[in-house]
Amino acid sequence: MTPTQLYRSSYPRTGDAALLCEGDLLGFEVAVLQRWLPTAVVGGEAVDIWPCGTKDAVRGMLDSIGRARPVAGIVDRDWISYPTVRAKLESEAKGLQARAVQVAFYGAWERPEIENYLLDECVLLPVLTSQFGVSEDQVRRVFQDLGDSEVARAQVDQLLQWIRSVGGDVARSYEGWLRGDEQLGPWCKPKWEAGGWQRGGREAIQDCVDRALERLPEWSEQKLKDRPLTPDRISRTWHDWQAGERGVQDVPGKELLQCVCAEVAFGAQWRANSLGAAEPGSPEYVRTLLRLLQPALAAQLVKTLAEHEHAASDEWWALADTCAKMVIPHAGL
Amino acid sequence: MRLLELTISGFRALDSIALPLCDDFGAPRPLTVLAGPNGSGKTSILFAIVQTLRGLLRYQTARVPLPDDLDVRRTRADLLAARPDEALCHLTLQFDADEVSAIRELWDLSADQHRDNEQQAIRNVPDLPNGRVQITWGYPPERTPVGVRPSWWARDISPRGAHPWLWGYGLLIRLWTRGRLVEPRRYFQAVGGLRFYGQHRDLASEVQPPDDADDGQITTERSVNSADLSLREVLLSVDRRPVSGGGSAAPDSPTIAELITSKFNQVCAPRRYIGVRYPGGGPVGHPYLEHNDRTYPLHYASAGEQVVLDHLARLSYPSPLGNGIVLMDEPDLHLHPTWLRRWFQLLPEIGGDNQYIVTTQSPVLRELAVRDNILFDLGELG
Repeated sequence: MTPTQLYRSSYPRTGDAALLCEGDLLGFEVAVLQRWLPTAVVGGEAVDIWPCGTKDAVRGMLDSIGRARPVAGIVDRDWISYPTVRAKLESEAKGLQARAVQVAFYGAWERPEIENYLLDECVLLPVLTSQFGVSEDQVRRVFQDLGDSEVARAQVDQLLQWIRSVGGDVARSYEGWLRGDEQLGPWCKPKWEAGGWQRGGREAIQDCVDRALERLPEWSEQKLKDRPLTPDRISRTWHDWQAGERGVQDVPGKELLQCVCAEVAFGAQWRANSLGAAEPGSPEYVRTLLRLLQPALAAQLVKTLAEHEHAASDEWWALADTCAKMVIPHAGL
Repeated sequence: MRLLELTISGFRALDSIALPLCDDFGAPRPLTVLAGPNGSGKTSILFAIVQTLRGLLRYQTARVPLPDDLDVRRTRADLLAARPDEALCHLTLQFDADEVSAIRELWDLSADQHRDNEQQAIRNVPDLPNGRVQITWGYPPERTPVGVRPSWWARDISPRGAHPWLWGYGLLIRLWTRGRLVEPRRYFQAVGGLRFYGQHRDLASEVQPPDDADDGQITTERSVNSADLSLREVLLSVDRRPVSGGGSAAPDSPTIAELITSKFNQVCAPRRYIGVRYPGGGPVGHPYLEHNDRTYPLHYASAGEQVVLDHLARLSYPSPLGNGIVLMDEPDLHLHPTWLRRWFQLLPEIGGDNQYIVTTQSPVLRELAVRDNILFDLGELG
């Protein structure tokens, strides 16, 4: 498949309403939503799914086409809390409606990214076991191991973001110092080596952060004079994060999905013709692998949502209700 | 039965092509969409498959003409040559364990009834390593010391003597029309046949009511395995037939007509197919559709409605096809984009676990195919 094929295959639009999302033509958003909507809504085929790339683009496209067609928009919440994002987008939707844009819904996924919905066992296990011929236990082991590491890494990222948000310019230098920790640094992102992702376990990452925090008072006395960012406050925040119930659904979903799929594929000695000379774990290998797995993952997510097996079924059915309201006036074509 | 590999050379619009029919995980794709401009060879690929398999599967259709000189691709140099070039098609079929077991049972059933004739000999069907059969067909037909082979004759089959595996569906129809199967549905699900849907549909002539009364029941072996029954005949034939195919079916077993109705209504909503009706209680039945408060017979239906019914009815006739190979040439013709999207979504659920090869020029179908990694592009215009 080439970008030209994709482009020629994607335009023009023929629907009666539009659902705008993040992601590109190759993204999981469009792959999942195009499959799911017709199964969830009578006349769902008449809702065009527009992958707009970014949040800003979704916002812009709502404005651009929303006076000609009923529109809805859904974006990643990323690492901001869901209530905060929802309140912000609802406020923006009111602004759009005041300018005659027919916005039926403008909101965010309750999970950080759409890939987080593919990480549930009911989706991941059937797809990976059937495609690679491995056992469920093998997939679970890889998932748990990488998931633990990603949870810990997400905690570090949250801490760094918080430091940045309360500390301003001074905090940026502290963040650099924390990131530059010789032991923490290499663990920040899983790295492919010798047939697997080398990653820091939860304990290893937390040890590094604890050590960084221990050094904080001395450093902060010099750097953080009269600033709201105090060592106590940083330390308390970090330990609050650790005590929190943060599961794998709060990690960067796309990255964890890539890591799990690549490690399972490598363990099963899988290699596609279309991969050419790409090394396992290389960006090209991972991209190709996810692209090849995408239809099966998307189909399995849609199946589990339709059968209410998925933990997020209620959230998706609520979105279906919104989309139904957009197309019901057009249901007779 | 699954088509795993296909190579074609010198056939109609095709110079040489190898069509990948398995995905990157090694499994045969349930659906492959062929796209490309006019003259790129989309229809030629479907025709080549039919020409290669029609004799072996005993598949009868007038929608693909019997092989002739026009099937051979000619270059400018060929035109000057005294002898035409050669068209070749080589394909590999895969039979799964259930299908192998079902075909063996059918041959056993057949042989039990014909112990003293040639069926006894054919019982000794060869084993299939990996369940695979390779077939080569070519044109012009081979000359032998006793004459010229028929144009649909396969030149080579490997393993040698594997023909009985390919005759499985024909044998199933024969035993079924003679009422010799206790659980027909089980065999219809396991043993794959071939279906071809042509691009040039003259459905108008297929949907007209007859001049004289008839009950639409077609039961001869030849007619059941034919693609050339009219749509009306097929719909009448399956109207009250249970999906189970008869035999020991439960009394409340759904009928094939109910299956067709359900699928049609999903694709063509808000229009509905309501089955065969007998106006005035007379003897002549006819398929009817409904929209809002209007009821209308099949020959009043739109081309799109007729096409969707055509797909559904033939895939369900004489029993829902399972494990078969279905070739569709531009099925998007006549369909509204919304109906086409619904049709595409529903396709895997029509019949059993079939393998579909579909050609298209529709941007809608292309988009859906790209999304599912099932698009095979045959080139650009010019």
